[in-house]
This record gives sequence, C-alpha cells and structure tokens, in this order.
Amino acid sequence: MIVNHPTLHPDQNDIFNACGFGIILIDDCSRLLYWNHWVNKHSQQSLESNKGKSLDVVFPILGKTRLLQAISDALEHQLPSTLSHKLNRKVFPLSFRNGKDVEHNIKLIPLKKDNNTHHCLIEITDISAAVKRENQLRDISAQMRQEKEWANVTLMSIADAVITTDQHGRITSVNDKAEKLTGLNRSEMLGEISSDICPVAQASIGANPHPINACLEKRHTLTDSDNYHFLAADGSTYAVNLSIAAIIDLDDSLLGTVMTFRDITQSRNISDQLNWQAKHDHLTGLLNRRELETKIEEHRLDAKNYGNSHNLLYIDLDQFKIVNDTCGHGIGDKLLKQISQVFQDQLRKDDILARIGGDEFCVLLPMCPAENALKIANTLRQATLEYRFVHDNKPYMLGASIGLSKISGHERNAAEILSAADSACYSAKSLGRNRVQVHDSQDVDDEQPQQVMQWFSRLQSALEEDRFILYAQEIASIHHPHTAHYEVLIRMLDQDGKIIPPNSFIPAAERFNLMQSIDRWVLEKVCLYFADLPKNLQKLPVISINLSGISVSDKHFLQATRELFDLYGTPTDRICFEITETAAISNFKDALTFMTEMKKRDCRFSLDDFGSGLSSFTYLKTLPVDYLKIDGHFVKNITDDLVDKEFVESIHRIAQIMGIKTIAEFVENEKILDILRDIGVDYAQGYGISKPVPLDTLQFA
Amino acid sequence: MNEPNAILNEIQLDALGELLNIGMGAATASLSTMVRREVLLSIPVISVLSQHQVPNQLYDKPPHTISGVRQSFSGEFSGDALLLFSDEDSISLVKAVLGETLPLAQLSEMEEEAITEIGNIILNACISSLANVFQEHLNSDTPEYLHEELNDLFADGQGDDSFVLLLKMSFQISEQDITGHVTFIMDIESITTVKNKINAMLGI
Repeated sequence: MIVNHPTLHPDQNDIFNACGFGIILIDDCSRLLYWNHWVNKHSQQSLESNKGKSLDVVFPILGKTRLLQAISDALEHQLPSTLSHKLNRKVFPLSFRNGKDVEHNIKLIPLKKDNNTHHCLIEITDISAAVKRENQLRDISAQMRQEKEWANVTLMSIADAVITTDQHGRITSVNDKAEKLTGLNRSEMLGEISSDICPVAQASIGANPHPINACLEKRHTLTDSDNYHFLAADGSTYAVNLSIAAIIDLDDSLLGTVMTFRDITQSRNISDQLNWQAKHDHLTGLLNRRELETKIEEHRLDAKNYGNSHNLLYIDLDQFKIVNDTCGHGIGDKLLKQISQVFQDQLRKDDILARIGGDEFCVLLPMCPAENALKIANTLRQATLEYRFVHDNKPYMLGASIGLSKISGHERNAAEILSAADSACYSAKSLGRNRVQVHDSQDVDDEQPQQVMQWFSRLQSALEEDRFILYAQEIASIHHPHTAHYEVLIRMLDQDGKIIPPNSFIPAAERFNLMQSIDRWVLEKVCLYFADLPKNLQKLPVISINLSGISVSDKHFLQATRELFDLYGTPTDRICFEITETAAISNFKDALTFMTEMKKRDCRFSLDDFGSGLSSFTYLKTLPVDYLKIDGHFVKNITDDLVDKEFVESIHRIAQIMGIKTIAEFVENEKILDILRDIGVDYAQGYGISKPVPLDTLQFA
Repeated sequence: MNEPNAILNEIQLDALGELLNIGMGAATASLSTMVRREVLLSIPVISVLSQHQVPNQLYDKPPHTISGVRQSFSGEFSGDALLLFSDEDSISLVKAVLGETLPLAQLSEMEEEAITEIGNIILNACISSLANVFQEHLNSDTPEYLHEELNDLFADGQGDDSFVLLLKMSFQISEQDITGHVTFIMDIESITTVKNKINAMLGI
C-alpha cells in the first residue's frame, strides 16, 4: 500500500507547530502521516523517522489501550471518540523535560479524505495542570469534609436543638434534637422557611414577628431568652430557651443564621411550682402570709391612690388547739383544710383567703365597704359556729374570733394593716371569743400597732427597773362603814417619771404575754405591803388584786402565789382576787382550780365586770365567789336609766340569794350611792366615794 | 402531524427499539469492560413526543438540573443524541467507574471528561447501529458534556416541529442504582426519514 504523504503549506506547518497541544494525523490504515512539534517534543521522537509507520508500531504501548478501538471506530464508522484521562491513564508515552509524565486527554476526529477513505485526527491535550489542580482540590475537599463531619457530629450530639438557615431564612441544617423538639423530620424541614417551620411566640406578648426575621433583617441577635414558647407541629406548646445569631461573612455579608433552643418546660414548671409554693400555704393551698402581705400592699396603694374601700379580716379559730392536741396534728390539718373550704364557700369571687399561721386566717376583702366587711365577717363567724368537725364520731364545735381592719391607705405598710387586724382579733378573743371586733384607730385601748410594739420594750424595761406603783381605791361598805376594803390599781412610771394609766399598757401586756409578770409583781407588792404594816394593827384591810385570765389558768402562777404567801407570811384572809367574768368563764376549769386552792387559804374572790359578758348565773353557782362586782356601765346611769337600775337590782337580788356580796363600781356621786343603798348593794367604789391614792399613803386608825 | 403518536406507529416503534437495543448491547459490553462490573440493560421504551413532555416522561419527579453527554449527528437524517443522568447518578457513575472514594459534591472537569467518554461510547454505539441498520452514513460531532436545567434542555426552542424520538432505556451498573437515559432529538423531517427507512426495512 502506498503511503500518502500529505504536504502541508509551510505556514500551516508553522501554525500546527505553534499549537500548545498535540496533533497526530493517521491514514485509513492507521499509519502516521503527521504530527506537530508538540508531539516531537514530548515523545522525544521525530516525525521524520516515524512517518508511514503504523501508530502502534511507533508507540507499542497503545496495544494495551482503548485507543486502537477508537481509531477503528473513527476510520471504519466515522465515529469521534473521547478518551479521558480518568479512564485511560498514560495512553501515549509522553513526558516533560524533567521526566514527569504529560497527563493528557485524547480526542479522535474522523476526517473524510474521499468517498470511501477516512483519516483520523488525534488531538492530545495536556491536562497536567488540571490533574494537579484536581488533586489539590480533592485534598482540600477531604479536609473540609472532615471538618464538616466534626462540626456535624458536634451539632448532632449537642443537647440543644440547632437549626441553621441561609440568608433568606431557609433551613439548611437540622440536628437530631431539633427534629425531636419540632416533631418534624429533617427532610420536611430542609429548604423550608424557618419561621414557618419553627413558629415561636413571645410568652408575654403572643403573636409578634418571629425573632429570626429580626435577625435576618436587622441582624439582631437573641441570646438565651426564656421569653418564648415553641408551637410544635402537633399543636403542643412548650417553653423554650432561645438563641438566634446571624452568621456574618468576612466581607460583612449575611450568610445565614443559627437558631438554638431547648425545652425548658420542665424547669419552668419547677420554677412555677416553686413560685407557687413560695406564695401558698402547702396544707390548704391558700395564700401564705408573705403573699397576703403583697396583696395587702397592692390594695393599700389602691386605697391611697384611688380611695377604694378595702378591708381585712383576721380570723383566729377558737378551740382548734383542743382538736389538734387531743386528736393529733394530722386531724388538726384535716380540720384546717375543711374550715378553709367553709370560709371559701362564704366568700365572694374576688375575696382573698390566706392562711397565715397555725389556726390563723386572713381574708382580704377588696372593694368592700366596712359595713359589708362586717357582714361577711359575721357570716364567717356564724359559719364556723355552725360547722361541726367530726372525728371518731365525736363532733367538735369551733368558734372564730375575727378582727376587722379597714385599709385606709394611710398606713405605712401592709404589716401595719395586718397587725391592726391582728390586734382587733386579739380584742375579739379577750372579749370572750366567737365575735367580730372592728379595729378602731381612735380607741385608746387599742392603740396603733407600732405603738403597741413600742410598748413591749417599755413594759420590759419597766418590769426590769421596777417602775410600777400601786394605787388603792376604797371599796366602801355602804351599810357597815367601819370595814376597810381597797382595790389595788397598777400604774406604770415612765422613764421621765410620768404616771401612765393601766388602759395604756395593759392591752400591750396582754398581747405580749407579760400579764403574768405584772400580776406577780402586784401580788408581791401587796404581800410586802402586808408584811410592812405595823404588827399591832387591830384590823387589817382587805386588798383586792386584779388577776388576768392567763394568770388564773396557769399552774405556775398558782404555785408562785403560794410561795409568795408563805415567804411573806401574808394574811391570806385579807386577800381578795378580782377575776373578770370573761376570764373566769373562758378558762373555767383552771380558774376553778385556782379559786378552790386559794379558798383553802381563806382568800376571797370577786367576779369583776359582772354584766358585761355572759352574766351566767350557772357559772356563778359553781364558782366560789364572795363578791360580785357589777359592771360600772350599769351603775353610772342608774339615776336616769330604769333598765340599768332594774338590772343592778336583779343582780343584787340573785347574789343575795346565793350569799354573795355585791360591789357597785363607778359610783360618782351621792345620788347614785343613795339608790344603791336603797337597792341594798353592799359596797360602793368610785370617785364619788374616794379617788385612788398611792397604796403606801393609806392610813389606818 | 400534531399528534406525535401518529408519526410512528406501534410496529415501527417496536422495530426501532429492537434495533437500538442491539447497539446498546454493544455499548454496555464496552462499559462493562471499563467498570469491570456487570451492566444491566432495561427493555427500551420508545416514544415520540414533543420536547416539553420529555422531562415528565423520563422522570416521575423531574430533577431541576441534569448531567449528560450530547453528540450531534448528521447525514440523511440528523439530530442530537443525548445520554442523561440525574446529577446524583452522574456522581455515582463516576464513583462506580473510577472507584473514587471521596467524590466531590460536583463533578470535577476531569470527571466530566470521563462521563463524556462513557457517553461517547454509548452514543457512538447507538448512532453506529442506526447507521448500520439503515446502511446510512452518519457524521457525528465530538461529544460534549452537559450540565443544564432539564427544562432548558427540552425547551421548545427549536421550533414547532421539533419532536423527540425518546428512547427511554436505562442501564444499571450492578449493585449501583444508576440509571441513564438515551434520547434522540430529531425534527419532523428526520423522523419521517427514519420512518420511511423502517418501513423499507420491514418491507412495508
């Protein structure tokens, strides 16, 4: 076969030789016709010495490659081919001057020579640079992938939900926890707008722009906010701690956002619970003292600023102690729960019931005039009275002593209002329980709470420094003027020597449990008085000593009294104890014990203020009483008021029948004395008879 | 000729499918050699349809972009032969063929070249079997790599009479779920020529 030697125009030859890629031309029998300078250079072979040779002879290595197949496709079927570097490494043995291989791609293009013959153009492209580039890219990519994997694993194992978005707010990644919290699959979330997929609402405001929008638009960062609720796909809502941050590129362009959140429902529940517990009494579920004070303060300010009328009730359960002590604390608790319900049933919707101590309750009555408050207080008292607590088939009857205090707004704080109600409650208790007492700031007996507080320290120091003195007021026998009988009355000496009347400090002493100390002080002074009297005195006076209910019912006081009498050798038959009717009855059993014991020592007893309380003759029958002291309020008006006169008469009559002498107080003038004399009352006491004088100034003939 | 199915009837389509299948058989054999794995061919489905119908015909869920190889041919009838892969499958194919353990998110230019070569082998086989069967001489351009939006590729840009002879034939490389589609885009004139050729061959 004749090899067709193509001749190239010198210009064409220059052009091909100038090409930066290889050109090989072969004839229809695969024989080399031409190659350019590039092939010369990289194959280190000359065209001249190989022209006309079959290409696989020039490069024997081609026999192992797909190139020969491609050449035959081109020559026989006129099909072009591409041989990529990836699939055909080192087809031609080409190298650079430094010995490195020329990495190359090959293209085969069939060229029509004439009707039946085709040549083939082989184009060889140097891609060494691209190969190197790709290898570098692959290394960097591997490194990045590794870093990304690290980041991803970190992201996935984080306990918080993490969602990232692009700069348009479309979700680009979702970790496992985020899937769990949103209740959505990753596939459902990716590419979606995050504010649609992860709706959050600010807990306090409700609907408002999604914070991620603020982050996307204004690059506002939200850090560690507990103010949001997440609205999950299943309709549930839970509190989240939410952070959203913008990811900013080095050139200050927004790349996207990272949103992290975690479910804090549980911790918020715990804190809600703690918050609730801090404000409520755990037994009854009612507000506790602290929270009540907060509420009172709110209403105090409201009263002050807007003049609204609010009232406070202070309730102390009578007889609760009995149930608690005899049935056990568990039963006591049960009672408290039940009575809370009893109270609650009587109250209006907005009334605030609180338990502030063992058996002490408070009711804040908002927007309630004093009259209504009093009515509600009485309803509560009545409900308590009608309620029967049953334990072991035994019914227990309760009572409520209720103090009512108006919230005027002029008080300095809630504590002041609370103690005003407290002291009114105390008054209710000391007036015989099961009653409502209204706190009256004008009432001298019931001073301002802060003053009462001050009294405590004043009383303490007065006791320590012995700054009390005894006065004596004559109890004159109307029909036998020769008998000497005095009632000793206590006065306190202030630090500057001022004499303070008992109605100023006795309520405080009662409040602070100092009555026993005072009673004891009086008793000792009287014992001393008798001890100091001249021994040759023919007729010793009878001295009446007031005893508080507390002292009468205390065994220790009884013992102390005995010891004092023994110590001073007191003529006990000249001692008369005055006990108020209320004190005697409310501590009946103990009072009876005290009286019986003292009776053994020939002491006398006088029932004070008879007529002001229950005036129960039944009790009178059982108590070993020598004198009945008719309440001064009846005596005072005896000249004008027939009812009072009748009252005094009947008391006297019954006392007479029972063999008890009567004493009338508040005898202010002769006219009263005349009437008393007519009625037959035995003794008279008052300014009309004689004024109290210091005990040590008493003179006996 | 607005109704594509009127262009080629059932018999003609079947015959064409059979012919192309022979060519594909040769192509898959060489592909099998290259990847050193078994390559399975599906039964070809042939239809004629207008260009915009192609994406939905090829895929249940047409991907946004597509990778592939185009080889234009000309002669008595002319058109474009296309081998198409979804982007994911093109990456899987490179992985299967080259055994790259760490493929990039997108094909590198070197890998594109490899895909081009694979496409070249398959499309050459199809084009040459067409030429063989019809005893025609077809000139073919060098293959080019494609990475385009599917809708752009089959936009009705080429005129109203631009129909597609769609040979939907997928091949699978064993243990790899890689599907490729071969399609021919020809104008009505060329399809008519092909039809006449088939008729002549079948003796109709």
